[in-house]
Parts: sequence; C-alpha cells; structure tokens
Amino acid sequence: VTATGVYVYGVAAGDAPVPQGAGALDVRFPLRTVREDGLAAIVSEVPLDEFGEDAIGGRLGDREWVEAKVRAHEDVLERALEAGVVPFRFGTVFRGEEPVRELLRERAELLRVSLRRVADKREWGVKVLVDDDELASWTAATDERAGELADEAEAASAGRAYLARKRLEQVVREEGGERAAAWAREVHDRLAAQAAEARTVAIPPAELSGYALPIALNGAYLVTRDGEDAFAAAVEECRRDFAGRGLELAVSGPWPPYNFVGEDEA
Amino acid sequence: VSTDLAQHRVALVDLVDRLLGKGVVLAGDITLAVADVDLVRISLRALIASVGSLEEDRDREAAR
Repeated sequence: VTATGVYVYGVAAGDAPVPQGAGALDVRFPLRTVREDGLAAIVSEVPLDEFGEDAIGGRLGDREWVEAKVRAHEDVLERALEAGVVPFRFGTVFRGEEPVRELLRERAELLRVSLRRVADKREWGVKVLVDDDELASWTAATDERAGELADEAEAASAGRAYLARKRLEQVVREEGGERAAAWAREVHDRLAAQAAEARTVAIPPAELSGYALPIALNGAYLVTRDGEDAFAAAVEECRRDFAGRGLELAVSGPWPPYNFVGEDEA
Repeated sequence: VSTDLAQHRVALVDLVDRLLGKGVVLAGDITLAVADVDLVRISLRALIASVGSLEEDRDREAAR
C-alpha cells in the first residue's frame, strides 16, 4: 500500500462541481472535493514517496517530473476556472482530509474574500520585450543629441569622427533605455486601465525566459470576462502605437488568478 | 472569445513562476510540504547548462 497525502490544487465555492476532464497528479487517485463551511477544496491523493517532505525536494530537480506535474496542476485549475477558484501554490500537501477541513474552517474568511475578488475574472500575462537594434535605430533617428553627433561623425576628421560615433552609441543606449522603460510603463498603465487589478511581477532570468529578447516589464492583469475584448483591443492598440520603436508585447493566458490571491498583498 | 489573445503552448518558466511563485501559500503545521520555486529554477538552469555543454561537446567532436 502506498502512503499518501492530500494535495490541494485550490479552493472553490461550496457548490462548485469537481472539475471535469482533467487528470489528477497521479492516475491512481482521481480528483475530488473536500467540502466544509461553504467552501470546496479541490484535492487528490498523492504518493508520499514523490510529494512527501523528504521526497519533493529531490523531485524538483527532475525536469520531466516537474513539467508533467506542474502542467497537471495547471490543467486542473484551468478546468475549475469557469466556476471560480483560488489557486494554491504547487506542492501544497496535507497529511489527511481532516487537516484540509481545518484549513477551510480556519481560513474561511480569507478564502471567501479571495473568491469574491477573482469571481468572473481571469488572469492575463503581458511581457514587454525590447528589440535593442530597432530601439537604437528609432532613437538615433528621433533624438536631437543623437542627430547632432551623427552629423559630427559625418563631417569631422577621422579621429573626431571616431569619438563622435562612440559618444553617439552611448547616447543612443542611454536614451533608448530610458525611453523603453517609460514606454513599457505606459503600456502597463494602459492595460491596467482595462483590468480590474494589475501588477508588475518579477522578470524571469534571461536564460530561462524562453524569449530571445530582453524583458522590460512583466505585467499580470486580472480581467473581467466582460472586459476581455476591451483588454485585447488595448493590447493591439499598444502594439500599433509602439510599432517600429523596438517594443513587442507577448501575451499569455487566460490563467487561473495566481497573482491575485493570498495574504501578501492588499 | 478573445481570439486576438491566442493561446499558444505555455513556456515552462511561465508555469513555474506562476504555480510555484504565486498562489495561496500556507506555512505551518498543517502542510507537509510546499515546493520551493528557487529549487526548480536552479534545476532548470542546471538543465540548460548541461544541454549547452552537451552541444559544445558535440561541436568539438564534429570539429575533430
């Protein structure tokens, strides 16, 4: 017999159905709900030789294991999203069903507030990427100081032209960086205006980001279902308005509202 | 349906950052384990590093 713990994917309203069509983390143990106090925890049993305190640390170094399990967790929550769900962090395992009931009783108020907060909304991610070459071309063509230096590089003697070009590169880099940061902020503000809530989140390390271009801003937006068309339109407008300046927008979602639950924020 | 916000296969790092870095966190006696996002990042980085060095090895073999 395998020793098991109870894995919690997230919490839904007490009358929410068990998510249909999603596989659980372990094929031997189906998804079910633990209902208490008008709340429903979406759970399944998991083997402790994978998810136990001593085991999970080692498993996290196994990329295939992580990818399979992380996708399964996400899949369950996506299928729970329609009815409304408060996502839990990956790898939240309880000793049994009674501790889960205890959680639902003790954290009932927080969980209810969180459920109301995310009701009828989905999370979207927008990363602002910067194409440095395009940004440099735009900056060189539009910045006054860059224009003067470019003229000087044309007209001056070889020695002075070299210095002017060096100075031009520096001006373009600094000025370009400042502009890109300001534009990214403007994009975020315009998207936030179409969202119920918005926040900027940590930028993933470049070597792991999956994008060739550097990321200037990583935004998360909690958008009402009714507001998704307007949000998508705002994304397109930003793409159009910043075209040719080296800014690209990468959209992901819809996500369960991972960035808009929990106690660490107001 | 917002067809403009077309969904493509989600990058693992996006998933990891959301699933391991966010969501309701419970510390304390009732939970057995909460996975640590930094551990996964380290393992992803190690994997990328090892893939990189494999490719270098292969290039070196080919060059010989």
